[in-house]
Amino acid sequence: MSAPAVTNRRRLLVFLLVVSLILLALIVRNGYIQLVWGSELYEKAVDQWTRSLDVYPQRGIIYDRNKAVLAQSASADSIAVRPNQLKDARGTALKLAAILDLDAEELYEKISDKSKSEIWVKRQLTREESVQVRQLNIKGVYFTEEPKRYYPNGNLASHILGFTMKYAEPGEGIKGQEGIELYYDKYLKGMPGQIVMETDTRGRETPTNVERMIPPIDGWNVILTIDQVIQHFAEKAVSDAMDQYRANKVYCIVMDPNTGDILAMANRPDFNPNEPPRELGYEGMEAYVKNIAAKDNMDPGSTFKIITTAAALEAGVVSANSTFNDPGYRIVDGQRIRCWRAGGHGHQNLFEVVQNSCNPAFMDMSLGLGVERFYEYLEAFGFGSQTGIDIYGEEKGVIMNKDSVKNVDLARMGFGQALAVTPLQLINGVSAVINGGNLMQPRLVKALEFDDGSEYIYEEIKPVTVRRVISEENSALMREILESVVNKGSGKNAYIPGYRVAGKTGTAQKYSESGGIKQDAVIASFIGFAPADNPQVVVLFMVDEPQVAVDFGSVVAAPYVKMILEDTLNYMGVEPVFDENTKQETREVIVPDVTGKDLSEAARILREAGLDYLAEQTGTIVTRQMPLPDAEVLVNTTVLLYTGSGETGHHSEEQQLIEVPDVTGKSIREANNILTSRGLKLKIEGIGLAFSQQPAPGTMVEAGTTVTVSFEPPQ
Amino acid sequence: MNKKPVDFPILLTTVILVAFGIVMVFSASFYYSADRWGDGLYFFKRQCLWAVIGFAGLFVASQIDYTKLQKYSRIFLIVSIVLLILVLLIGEARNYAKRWLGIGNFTIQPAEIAKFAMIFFIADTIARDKGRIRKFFKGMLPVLLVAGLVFGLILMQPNLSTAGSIVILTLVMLFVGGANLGHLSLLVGAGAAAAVALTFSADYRLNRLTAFMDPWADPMESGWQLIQSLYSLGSGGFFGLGLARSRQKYLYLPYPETDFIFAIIGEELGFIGATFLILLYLVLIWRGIRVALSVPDLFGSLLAAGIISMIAIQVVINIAVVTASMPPTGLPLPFISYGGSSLAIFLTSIGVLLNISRHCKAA
Repeated sequence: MSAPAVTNRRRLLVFLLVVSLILLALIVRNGYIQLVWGSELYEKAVDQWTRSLDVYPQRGIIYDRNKAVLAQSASADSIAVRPNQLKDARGTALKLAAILDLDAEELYEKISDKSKSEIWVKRQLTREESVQVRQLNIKGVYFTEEPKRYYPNGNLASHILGFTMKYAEPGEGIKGQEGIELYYDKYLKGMPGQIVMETDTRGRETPTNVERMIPPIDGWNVILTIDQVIQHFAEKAVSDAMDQYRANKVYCIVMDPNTGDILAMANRPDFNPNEPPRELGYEGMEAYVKNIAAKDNMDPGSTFKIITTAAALEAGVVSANSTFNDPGYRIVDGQRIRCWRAGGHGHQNLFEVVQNSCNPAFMDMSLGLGVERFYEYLEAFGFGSQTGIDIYGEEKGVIMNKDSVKNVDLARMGFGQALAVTPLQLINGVSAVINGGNLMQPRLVKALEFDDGSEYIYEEIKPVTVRRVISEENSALMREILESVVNKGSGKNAYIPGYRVAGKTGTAQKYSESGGIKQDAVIASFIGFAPADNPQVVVLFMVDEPQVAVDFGSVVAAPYVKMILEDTLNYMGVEPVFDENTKQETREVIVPDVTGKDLSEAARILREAGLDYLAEQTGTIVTRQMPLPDAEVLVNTTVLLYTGSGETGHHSEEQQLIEVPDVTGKSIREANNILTSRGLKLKIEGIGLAFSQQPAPGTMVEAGTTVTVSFEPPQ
Repeated sequence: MNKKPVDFPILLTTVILVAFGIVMVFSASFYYSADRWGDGLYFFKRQCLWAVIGFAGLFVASQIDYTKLQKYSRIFLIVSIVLLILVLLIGEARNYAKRWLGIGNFTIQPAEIAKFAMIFFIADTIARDKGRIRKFFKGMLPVLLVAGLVFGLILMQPNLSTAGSIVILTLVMLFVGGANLGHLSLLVGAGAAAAVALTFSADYRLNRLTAFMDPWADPMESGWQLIQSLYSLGSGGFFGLGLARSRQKYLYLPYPETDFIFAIIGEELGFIGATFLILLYLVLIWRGIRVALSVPDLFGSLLAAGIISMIAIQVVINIAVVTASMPPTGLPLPFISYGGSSLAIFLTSIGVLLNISRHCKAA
């Protein structure tokens, strides 16, 4: 046995020393990592351990002025698949596709892509779909709650409410895209909260996790000036007018002239905000979702004469006693501008001028004002600038540059040509004329409300008076003049027994894209208000391109204004009063059925019944009539007669009958494609798949007929 | 020979290390274990069982006179080489490496046994004729050839870390055994050149090397493990997050119960705990060297030196890897890391060391 030598011992000590030094160095190195570098590393590590989940607040409710719900939020499930956790991708695809109405093959390809950690299968399922998928209980299929915006009244007030869009990522909530939803988005949306939690690498909550939650703050509720009931009257009227006249567009605004509160605003075409027609693309969608009452610039026509008259009175150019002479034209700067009535109206006072809507008289007024003063009033009444209503993208009309206005232009502007206004500007200007002379800022929202159960805040928004434009006296005189239009002049179709109704008709030309006057295309309008001595409600109704031979505003638009005014006054509790002011011919008669009759015979029957009539000149046999048979109307109401030459009674010489196709079981997009390809229009009710339609499949209808299809979420 | 008591500090340090290790294996592995095996105690139970086996081995080894073992050194070596060949033929492959031999329910790593056998073989060879080791061809070369064979067999598994640690172990034992310093320098130079060549021969080795220099260059792949290790240590700070409070063990840090358990210790027990552990090892190494210094015969001295350097090498490499001080290799932390055969063999070798301590001259 050999003993260790000195060398061995020395070398053992060297080894011990070296190892000790290395371990010491490692203590220093570790100290540097843990103590010096530590806080930076810790920060990064915390970042890695924690996930924050946004918790979305409840979006505010949109109410009408009486707190009826117009838009509210609910939540709907969305489902996602994690391909790596799926046992049987094909089986899953088949089952899901059957429930969710998706293409199984496409879905299979989508969910078998293992390079993705999570794939969205379908967002915002119906309750039934969600329940069915949950019952399958497939591993790897996940549910997320997503907020869904719900508009209980469908198309009602769609242009006012607008609509919302989902953010790209589910769970991020929704944002306003149009209308009130967009304009008041920052109030409606609320403040998202957050859940911060510790997770493992795969995002699962760890056992030691202490969840920290910053609760979301719910959105504010918006209370509109809109009255759901009046809105309903307006919607019905524009729908009827659209169908009746097969018009291009129809506009209707109902307003409280004293406050600028919009009580109703309805246009056609419209849309269902539950299912905005995104399939049409941005441009195609615009035609349906645009709030044209505030965004279309158009020739006002004769309704604008109210403004001209008010300005001329206020400036002292005319007075209540002024008289005018109309030989049927005026020659301005050598150009002959005709009155609408061949031969003219002869001698008239101011009241008669407005009643007759006599163009030369208004040329006198605008020329009498001169460019400077006329423009001062244009601006004072708010033309050429936005009204300031709570709608994004409001148009401001088109007013010629003041410096390039010639007398010819000025004369035309006097009777509502050579300038363009929005329907909203027009009704707001007229409101200023009749409300005592103040231009109000029109508005859609009267209050904002916060209510999360524990805290309640109510913030009322006060009406804004922009400026005084005319005097009380002139305003009162204007009301009197406009009442006479309904009692004695072109507005008699708007007369309501027991109420003092005032108003003015309008028939504006349309211009083609080349700038010339478009033949046989007009915008027929009527603006009416009541009670005439103390206006509570003013209604503007415009029909763009009504497909009738007699297209004056007095015939086309006035009956609808009358309808809306009557319903609204009743609803508002304004009692009819029968005294000398409303004493008129108040006898009502029943409209006889003259369809199928020879035109001359129809005329005789109507005369005997105490009614006026207007007929198209194209045919000899009455095919349709407006008002319809059996309606109760006032004596001397004008009945419109549509005529054709054949026995069939339809426009068979121009229009082929089309067989209505069967769209049941189709999606909205498919139904729309099928119907439009045959020249039919689709009216959407509900969402999902079509389960019924009106008219029924196989029915023969005219081109352009609207087929109403009811959709329901698939079961 | 009189039956003197064993070196008590070595025994105590060992018991503390193993107990500490079991607690840390439990803490580090619980979440992963529950996730992977559906049983949070899977690793813990196995480690406990191996600790019992290991302490049995320790007790038996401490009772057998080490001098009587010297004559079995070569047989031991041959058996371990046979096992190394067997593992290449019928071994169980995990993570693309054949390192395990199955015996019933348990598996052992023949490379762990080979380390132990190499210690016996080198100690025996030098002790037979201490003058011969100064010579290159007659003394060093046979040792180097055997070491080369073992190194080659382990490298074929492949297991570069263990193979490398055997090379270092051999060098340390040759150094302590009295080999010529010139020969050793030449050998280290050649070894370094070979290491460089090896590094550049395989892409994954080169990647590991660069990943260690800047783990954030490829944070999701090659840098991931080191970044996670640094996050662990950094999160621990001075006092640590508290026992069982590691966040990194929630599947962020790979191998939290084996190769990277030191990071979890740093995270849960802080700089204090990590330093305490290193100092425990230092005590063990100091006491072990003390045994080697005071044992009267060369075989015992070299055997003790070999056992202690095997421990020291693994401690240094493991901690250096976890603290991103060297390129990552997979060597477990002695007594602490989960791993049955490693723990059992370390404990048995401590038993041998304790037996040697009985022969020490009074210190």
